Amino acid sequence: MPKLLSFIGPTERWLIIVIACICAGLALTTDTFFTLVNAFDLLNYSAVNVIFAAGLLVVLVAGGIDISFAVGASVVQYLAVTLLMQIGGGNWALGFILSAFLGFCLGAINATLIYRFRLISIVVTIATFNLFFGLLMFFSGGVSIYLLPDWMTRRVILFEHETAAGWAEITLPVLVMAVVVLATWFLLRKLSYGRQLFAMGDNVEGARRLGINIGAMHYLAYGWLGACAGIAGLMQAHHAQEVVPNALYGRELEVLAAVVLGAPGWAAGAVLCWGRSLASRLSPSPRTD
Amino acid sequence: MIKFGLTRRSLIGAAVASTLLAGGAFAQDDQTTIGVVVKIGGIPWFNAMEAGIKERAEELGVNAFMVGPTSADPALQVRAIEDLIAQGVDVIGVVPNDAAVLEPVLARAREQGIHVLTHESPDQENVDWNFELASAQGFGEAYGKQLGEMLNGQGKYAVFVGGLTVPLHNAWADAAIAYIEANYPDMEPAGDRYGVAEDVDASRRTALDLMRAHDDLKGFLAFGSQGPIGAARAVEERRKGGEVLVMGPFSPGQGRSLMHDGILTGGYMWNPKQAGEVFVTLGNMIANGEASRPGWRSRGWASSSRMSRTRTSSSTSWSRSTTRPSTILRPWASETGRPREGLAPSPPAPSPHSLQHNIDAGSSGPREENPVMTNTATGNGAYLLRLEHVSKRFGGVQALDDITFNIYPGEVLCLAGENGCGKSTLIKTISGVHRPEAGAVMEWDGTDMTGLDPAKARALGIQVIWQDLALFPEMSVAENIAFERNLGARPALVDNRAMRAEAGAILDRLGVNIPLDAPVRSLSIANRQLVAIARALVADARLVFMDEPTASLSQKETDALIEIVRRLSEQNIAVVFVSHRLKEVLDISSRVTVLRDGRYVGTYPTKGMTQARLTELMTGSNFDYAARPEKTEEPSPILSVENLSRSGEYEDVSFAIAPGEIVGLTGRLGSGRTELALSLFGMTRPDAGRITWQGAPLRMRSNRDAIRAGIAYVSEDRLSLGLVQPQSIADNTVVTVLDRLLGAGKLLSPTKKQRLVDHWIQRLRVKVGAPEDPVSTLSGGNQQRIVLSKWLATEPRLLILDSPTVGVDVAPAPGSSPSSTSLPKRGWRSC
Repeated sequence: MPKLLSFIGPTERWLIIVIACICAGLALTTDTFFTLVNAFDLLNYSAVNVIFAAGLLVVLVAGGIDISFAVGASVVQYLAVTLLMQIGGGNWALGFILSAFLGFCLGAINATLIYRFRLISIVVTIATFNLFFGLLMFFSGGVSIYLLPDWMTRRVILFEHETAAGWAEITLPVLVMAVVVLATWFLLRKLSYGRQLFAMGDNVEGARRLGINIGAMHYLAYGWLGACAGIAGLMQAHHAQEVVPNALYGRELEVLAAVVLGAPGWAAGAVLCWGRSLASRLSPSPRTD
Repeated sequence: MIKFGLTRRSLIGAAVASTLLAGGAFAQDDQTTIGVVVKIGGIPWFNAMEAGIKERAEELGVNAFMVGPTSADPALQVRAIEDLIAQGVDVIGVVPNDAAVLEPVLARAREQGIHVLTHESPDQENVDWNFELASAQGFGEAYGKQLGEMLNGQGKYAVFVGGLTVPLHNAWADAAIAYIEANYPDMEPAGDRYGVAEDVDASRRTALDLMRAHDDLKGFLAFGSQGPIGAARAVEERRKGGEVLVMGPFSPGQGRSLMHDGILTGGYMWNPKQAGEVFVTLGNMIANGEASRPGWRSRGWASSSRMSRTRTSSSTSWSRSTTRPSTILRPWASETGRPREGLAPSPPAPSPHSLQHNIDAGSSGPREENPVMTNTATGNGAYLLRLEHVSKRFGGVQALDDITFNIYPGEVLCLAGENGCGKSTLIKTISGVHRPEAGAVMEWDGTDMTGLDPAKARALGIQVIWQDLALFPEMSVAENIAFERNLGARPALVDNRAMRAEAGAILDRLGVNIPLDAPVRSLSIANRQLVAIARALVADARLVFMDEPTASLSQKETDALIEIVRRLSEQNIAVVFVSHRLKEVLDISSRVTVLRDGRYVGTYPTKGMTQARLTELMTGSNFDYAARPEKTEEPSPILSVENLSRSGEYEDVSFAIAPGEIVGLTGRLGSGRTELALSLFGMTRPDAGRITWQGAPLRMRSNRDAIRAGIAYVSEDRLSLGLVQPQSIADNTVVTVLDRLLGAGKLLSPTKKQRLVDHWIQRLRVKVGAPEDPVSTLSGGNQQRIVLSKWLATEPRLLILDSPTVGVDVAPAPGSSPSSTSLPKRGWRSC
């Protein structure tokens, strides 16, 4: 293994090899797989999951787990769009701030329950998963919102290129994904708070004895995931051009699988999200529900 | 994944209905109750239908409501219908997701005397009435005709339906495909139909995939209200508006911008609100016995509706209306496209969307920067730390009782005492983890330091190296050592270079060489210990506690550690050393403070102290270390091992053990001691050789066979592997012998359990508050006794103790040598 790649762990290496094999197989058997259009499609479709994954990684690093983030994102979508429509539509800046803030608040609920009552994170977040979804269904009446602010439904194309197979586009969610991934990397690798999160996940008793503020770290980890989830929700609503209360229900399992298998190598988490999209591409027979 | 939810309105509807039932008002008041179960709640199509139901219900004075599952799942509809049956409604209306799945539950409803009414389900059997606002044949054919005309009879097209089991959509699709085949032979379907049209995103993804796979795809026929929207978005995304046609029934409010941009090219539809009105009007009439004549027409929508009566009892199929459908079908643009109440009307969007290792040589030698001081602390000068009258209680256990503890700057002091004597509690009190009881005197450098917390203690220069080291195994050596830089740092940026430099300097000062970038988990125990010491020194420590630092070290490593402790002392750092190895204690320290059972025994200079005297002080009794009299007769061995080998672990091992004999097994760390023990315990299988147990060859498939034979094994890492920490002392004690505690009916007998637990707590003199307390509340030494009692409770014939002296008292654990048990004792230290 060349030195350049030495930072890639053995698990990640295997994942990369497996995904490379799948890609090679698909490229050989169909002529539409190995095209710029398809690559960009994968990127556009993976963006929401990668944003979720970046947030979830922070919680996993801190030694916790969260089940509730995807329905949390649905709650954020619903609240944000309702509020924005009430104040006359708003704009992207307001949308991002509102979504991230509402997401952070939901994350803070998880952090409070886990830290203050010393409960196990999986138990708490399964409970809040049901709580969030139940309340969302009750208050929304299960009714989707199709009337979104115009800025939210208008597709934002950052890069476009016409190929023989059609237009290849990079859209806004990809840029947002890149920013969130970069910010998460900066938090975990370059900020002392990130190192404290690592330490807490590694040995919580040791971290406590060193004087790390365990409570603050809980709020940071779950709040960060919440904010990422809120932004992912905004991107999903933007992409789908509608808010459907149960659209993100069940998404947590895909993201969890990707991040848990990919952890601790964050790159692999992203790669696996790709893999998921690849897998969904492998079987074009859609769901019949 | 079950997704189910009722809309709020329907929940309220249900609540109203049940209130009426409960109050008996339902029966008196002759109001008709109609419940309508639709495919899916929350989409504009059925929102409009609900508006129709409400409006007409109010007009007619009946109680009608709609129930919509959260996804288009037939099973959820079955549940909703069962709920309505239980509520005792008069009429159930259904827009089925799957006609066949609903037959049994609809049959049950009718058996209960409930009238059943369906819409968009031409072949439903168990209904009183099915009504359509258009004939399926005509509707489908009209779509086929329109698509064929618009494509000039050329090209590929794809068909979406709401689900492969949705009755009406598939009837439409059948008719459309048949029409195209008959009239436009050059057109070709792209695959079979796709059941995605109740979900925008699924329709969109499928449409994108289809367009990629079929270059020549020219049109989408999407039946199901979300399908046209999703397909149109995909076409928009691919910029094929005008090139690929999208047709199908949808809600104009939802599709307004797509219509405006010319991507949704056509569709026939009716207003679902009308269907809602029909449900209520027709339902009410059926309930009142008015709708018995076929061909009946209702006002308002008579010209656009056709109903046919189902021959209810016969098994023959429904006969399709023969009326020409052309008057029924209406292009959306002409009439029904008008924004309506409940359809989220708003003007179209103003514009179409825009296109667009090792310590490096440079850091050596900072050792000289520190003033070299000799250890002058032999009784004169001021105390660095002075403690008096320190007591601490935990629940029912008096952990510390009036302790005095003093230490001079730069001194090496040993804290000695048996397990559970309160050493750890004392350290935790001094480092601010525990608060002492009122009345304690605690002074640091002559100033009062009561009210200490861990952060303050560290700020003063008190550092503790815990027995478990409290390191971060996944993080690098440098980061573990210099971690405190990350706490409260401004700016909050991580400075890896400074961290490495700091860690390197400290390791240099200790005179050791550990790769800075290696993760701590890859280090040996001895090196981890050094990392922990290095971390303590980073924070300008003046007093360092080392809790059992030598417990897992080899002799050579211990010597190196002692050398380092001496060096710290030279640098005027006081060290409190906790160890069970009395020889070390006497070698290294100038004074020794002895605790016993939480009480202060005294502080003595080590000069002139002997191991025997120290033992006596610690235990309060005199021990005779004379060798046991050797047994003269040679009993037949209980276990004999011949030429046992396991590749890479041990080779050609032979020995025999007699009953009651204690055998020591010794060797270096990694010499195969633990590996051999694991084989004797059945956890690994030897490659060659023989094990004879009580005269017969012993073959073990797993350690369960070993336990059954009477072999017990207490692991090296007793605390993490040997105990279930959060469970109670009692539960931990009996976990190995649960099958012996069975009483009547094969249930666990609490009395037997109590007896056994009491027996072992007493026999091993475990100091516990109550047997119900969690094991984690016990001190390290007492936890070890619980591990031991757990295995002794199995009444083993052979007990294998792996490194039994790691952290074990100087006094032999009473009860660990029952005469019937042979104890092969394995010394852990290398020779």
